[in-house]
Amino acid sequence: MKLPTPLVPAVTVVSVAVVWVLVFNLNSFLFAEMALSDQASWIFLPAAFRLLLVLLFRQWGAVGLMFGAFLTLPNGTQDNLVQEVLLAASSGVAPLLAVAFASRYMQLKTDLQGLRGGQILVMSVLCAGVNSVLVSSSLLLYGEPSQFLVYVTTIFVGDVLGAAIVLSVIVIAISVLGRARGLHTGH
Amino acid sequence: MSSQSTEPTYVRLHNLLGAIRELSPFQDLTADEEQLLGQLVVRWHASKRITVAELMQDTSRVSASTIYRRLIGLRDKGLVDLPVDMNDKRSHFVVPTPSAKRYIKHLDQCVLKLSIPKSS
Repeated sequence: MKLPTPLVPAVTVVSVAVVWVLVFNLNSFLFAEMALSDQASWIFLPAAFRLLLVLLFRQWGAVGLMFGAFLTLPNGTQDNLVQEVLLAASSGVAPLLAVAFASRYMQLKTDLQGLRGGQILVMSVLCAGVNSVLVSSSLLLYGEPSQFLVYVTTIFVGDVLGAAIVLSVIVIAISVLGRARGLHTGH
Repeated sequence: MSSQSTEPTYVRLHNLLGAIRELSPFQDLTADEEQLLGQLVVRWHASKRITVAELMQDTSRVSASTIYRRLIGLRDKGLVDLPVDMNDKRSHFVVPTPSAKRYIKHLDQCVLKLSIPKSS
């Protein structure tokens, strides 16, 4: 069944948001003890999905990430609504900026033709850097200034480790599937 | 990255998975490399010493540079070694590595299994 064209972005946004919520909750379940707070964890698996989903679905992926991130926030009082919107926005803005950087300086094409593994790693680190600064800044505006560096460090390390773990799992899955198909050479 | 492009998502997914695959320490053989390895297996059986130059002369179907590129692919994936001919330093031999020998043995076992009829 083919979806009507205007519905495709809406379905993409909702699907990406659902994926984000599922992966976020999985991370909270697996690494509850690694969390500094609701916004910062020393291992954050969803970080990898930020970049991959924006590479795949571009601006609609980013909107879905913002929507999904907003759903995972406590959504408490009216007072912290602006902060929560800023926190949610960083989830979509960070990968968009990383991809924009790659388009400008690493000749990343829109169809990802010629994309190299190393470029994914560079974009993952960039994304982690931008996200850690954005999230920590929004916490700084409404929280304790003394915690800024702690949050930047925790979020950056968590995002990089999370991306590394998820990419490794995907690489292993591809290798195992390939091994089932034919010859592999490991060295 | 322009938002005006209309590439289907599966094209981006294919390219993205290809890039992620590059991060793997385990490398796939391409179909062309596997075919060349098959030709080498036959030649190793017929003759102990094959040189790169001899291999590149067999350009009936593909160019010498293509054969050379595939040969380098096999070398990079640890399936062939290209030692120098001590009698002629300009010449290199093409010899199987232990990985290639294991591959040949595995093929041999598969063929044997096929040829032995299953007892009912």
